[in-house]
Amino acid sequence: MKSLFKIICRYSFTAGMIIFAILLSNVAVFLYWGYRTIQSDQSKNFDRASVEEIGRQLYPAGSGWEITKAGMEKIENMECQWIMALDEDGAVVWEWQLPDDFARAYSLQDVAAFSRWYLNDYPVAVWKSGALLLVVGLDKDVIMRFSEMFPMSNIDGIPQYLSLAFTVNILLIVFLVLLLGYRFYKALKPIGKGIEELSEQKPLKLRERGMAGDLAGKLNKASAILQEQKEKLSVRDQARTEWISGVSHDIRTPLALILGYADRLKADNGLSSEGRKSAEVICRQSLIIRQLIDDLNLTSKLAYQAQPLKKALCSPALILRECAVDIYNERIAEENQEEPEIDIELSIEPDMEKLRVFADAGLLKRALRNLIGNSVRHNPAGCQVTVWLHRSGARICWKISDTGRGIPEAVVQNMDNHTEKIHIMGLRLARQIARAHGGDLIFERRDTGTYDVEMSLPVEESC
Amino acid sequence: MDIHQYKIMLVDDNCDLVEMIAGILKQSGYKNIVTAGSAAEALEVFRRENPDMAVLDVMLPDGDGFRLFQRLREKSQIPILFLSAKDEDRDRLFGLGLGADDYITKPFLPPELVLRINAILKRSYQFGKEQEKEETALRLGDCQVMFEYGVVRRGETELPLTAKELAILKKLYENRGKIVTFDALCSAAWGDSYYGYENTLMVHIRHLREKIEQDPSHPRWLLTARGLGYRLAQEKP
Repeated sequence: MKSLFKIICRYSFTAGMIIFAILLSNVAVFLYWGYRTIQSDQSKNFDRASVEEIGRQLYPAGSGWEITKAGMEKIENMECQWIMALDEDGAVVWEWQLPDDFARAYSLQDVAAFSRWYLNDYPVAVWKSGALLLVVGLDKDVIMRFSEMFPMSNIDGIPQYLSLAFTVNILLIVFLVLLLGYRFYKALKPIGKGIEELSEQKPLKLRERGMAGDLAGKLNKASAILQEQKEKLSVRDQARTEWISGVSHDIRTPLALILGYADRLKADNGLSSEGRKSAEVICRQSLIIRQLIDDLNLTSKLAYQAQPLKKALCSPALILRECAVDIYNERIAEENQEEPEIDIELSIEPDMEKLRVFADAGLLKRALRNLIGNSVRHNPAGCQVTVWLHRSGARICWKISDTGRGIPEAVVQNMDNHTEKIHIMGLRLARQIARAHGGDLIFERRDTGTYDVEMSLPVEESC
Repeated sequence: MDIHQYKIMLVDDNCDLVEMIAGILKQSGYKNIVTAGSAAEALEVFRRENPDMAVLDVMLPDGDGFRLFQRLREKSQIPILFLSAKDEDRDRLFGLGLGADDYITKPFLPPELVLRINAILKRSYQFGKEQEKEETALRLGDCQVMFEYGVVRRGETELPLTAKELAILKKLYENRGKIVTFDALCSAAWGDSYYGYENTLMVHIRHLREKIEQDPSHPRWLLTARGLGYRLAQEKP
């Protein structure tokens, strides 16, 4: 849900920025337009300076007024329709292209009227030039004349109005962004929750209405498909577990026969020593098959969660001691000899004796047995196995090392590869057990290139 | 009565297995063995032969062994051992929970089966009889531990054992030949809250050695399994 809130926050921020950018761009366009207008006015040479120049180029000649050649050029360059010059009495004393239907004398009232407005539909510009009043008629299709008066108070208030408008704009933007963001958040909230539940493989039933109704519908569909697949998988897993359990059950009786008869032949004095030796091998191998069946059964149950962990408070040190003692005792019973040739050295840190963990003691013992048993089995000439029980940060670790050959690189590389030989199963089972408890197996490389193994468990489960 | 005189009934639908177990038992001295291949046959054989002990398979063609167990129990209190291919904890616990004397999972080591049958028969029929005294006396070379009286007898001298020494020695004796962990020994002597008694245990072991060993600094019987616990050695053949 946090991620959805983050998305909405980002969306709101982005939306705000977009609106703000649009406003800014409007202002920029407006300013650009103003700038261009000023530019275009200048380009037409219709400005105060030009008209004043024309005024200066007029000179009295006889009874009337004439313009110099330079003045004439200026007029021709200027985009105007006509020009006339009035004297102080309002009589036209000089004209250029003045239409014939225009009066040739104007009263004071006429001048006052057209100076602010139009003269015969022509927008006009009026300049005083010496004793003359210069009147320029402009193109009625190009220029619009507008004259208005504003009270000063209005003009003074412009900055205030502008800042008020700006503030209102900003507030409106913030309000709209928050409102839309909230609506967006509300519409997407069930979708976000749905996705979260989907990732936890929970079945979904979202309401398919509103802005995100379509999405909700699709999520519901995806959830239904996932549930269906999950059920199919679980049926298949169960079938597989049951099949393995059934096969291992059916193998037990024939194996009991093999083991029983081999054991009898082993001690049969009527048999040659070679025959007895063969019987002994059959016996030993049958016991290995028995162990494999047990491992296979447990591994499949752990893999498909068919075996619940029987967790209880237990002592890691005790588990380790019992495990070592079991291995010794079995050697004593099997070989019927007093002194086993293996040597298991336990190095238990003092603080480990008091520690109790919440775990399945039977399974942990099984895992340790497999790990220590590997060292014993793969070093038939005998070796010293050292198990160091210690604490490393938030974990307790059983580190198993031996003076023998160690775990080969190929085994460590193939831990996740399911196609190779079966004798890794014991190691895999140990890892499965460790992982079922939230721990793991860690392989540590020796100088010789082979590995030692360490089983670690999180200690937060301890009390 | 010699335990090998007792009559044992084997019930399993696999006749090869029945034959093999019968062979193993006969080889180890049992003479009276009767067999059955189904629950119905077992009830019939039981009525006719009146065996002293039964070894039952759990999966039978006409019903399960647990049900057969209950039918047999209605009639008799003979010791019964389950021999099953079902290795699940819940099956084993169910069988033992019904009141079975033992539960062995197939495949098994023949000597183990024989030893367990021996133990069950002794426990069921000869407890408190003439062999009891012999059993409660542990012979270690030239000395004898009389658990009943809590003393160690060597020739004419008699040394008393303390309650803790007795509990520890009894635990070792029950597992003779096998290593017993410090934890199991402490728990036998001090109960479940034994933590911190390891050093005290060492003192008790030293005292025990002084009483039962000829040369306590080079023990012959009470041996140390370094870092693990102690072991009471078997009599050398």
